Amino acid sequence: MTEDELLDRLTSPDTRVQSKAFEQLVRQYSEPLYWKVRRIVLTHEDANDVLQNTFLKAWQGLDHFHRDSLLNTWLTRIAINESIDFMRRQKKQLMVSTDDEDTGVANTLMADEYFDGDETEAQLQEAISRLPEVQRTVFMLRYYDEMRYSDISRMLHTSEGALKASYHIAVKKISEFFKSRD
Amino acid sequence: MLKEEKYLNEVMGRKNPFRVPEGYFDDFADRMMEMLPEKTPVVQLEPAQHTKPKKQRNALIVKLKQPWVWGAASTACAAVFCGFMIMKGVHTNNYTAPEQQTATVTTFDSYLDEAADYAMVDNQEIYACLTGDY
Repeated sequence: MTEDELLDRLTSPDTRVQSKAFEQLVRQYSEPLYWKVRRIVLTHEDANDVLQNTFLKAWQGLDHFHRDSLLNTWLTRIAINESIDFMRRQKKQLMVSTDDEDTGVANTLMADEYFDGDETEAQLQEAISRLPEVQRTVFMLRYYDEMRYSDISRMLHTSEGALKASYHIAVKKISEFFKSRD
Repeated sequence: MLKEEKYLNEVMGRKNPFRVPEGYFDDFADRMMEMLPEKTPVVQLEPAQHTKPKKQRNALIVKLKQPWVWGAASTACAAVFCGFMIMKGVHTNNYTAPEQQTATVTTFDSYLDEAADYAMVDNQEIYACLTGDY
């Protein structure tokens, strides 16, 4: 099924057709979206929650989707926004809690059964988690997904110049973090 | 590529250290569809016999919005109200001066004349009706 055909069915007034098309959408995009979300929120349970919220919002927003972007761009934008909102809520909770944030992320990941990395990778994730939410998102999308700045710009409604600056700062911070640990 | 980016690439690469529970993606779609709230189905119903079809109802609504319709309706209401007030005046038991009574009867007569015009009956028929001789 082409994207146009899928879009026609997603915007069909017949809810049965719409529902079948949405199921197709979920099957097609759940895995790539999951990995974008997971790299931002880190744990599987949180990524699962954010991914479900993403598709719930997509379902509720179908009637307002005006085909002014690709499905992938639209869905990724929702997923990224949900991930950023999640991180902000999590940050507020961490400010209230008495946990020591300095060793929290790396230790949590090493104890996570769904994390297969070694200690260095856990430290990398900790360095990334210290970045401001948007900078962290830009880093993930650029470094791991190798997304073009133009695509990230459309997604986050930020200029390419600002994104490049944000990425350069993120890369510098993370490499300094590593060098200081050596 | 940035110098720092190159450093990270050499130290870390771009491999994915995360994994998911077995079969997670296989049944994610089914679980997701169960969670979605239902949308009201759009079903085409036949219009009920006692209700006007949508086109007619829309036409009626458009007509009701015309200013002349409201003017005619308010004139008709005023006429009915005036007739009611006149009839009420005739049937009160309060004493009125003879000249006022005459004026009231005259007014009532003229109302009857007007009503008779509308009913298209002549005086003979009215008389016959009043006396029961028809």
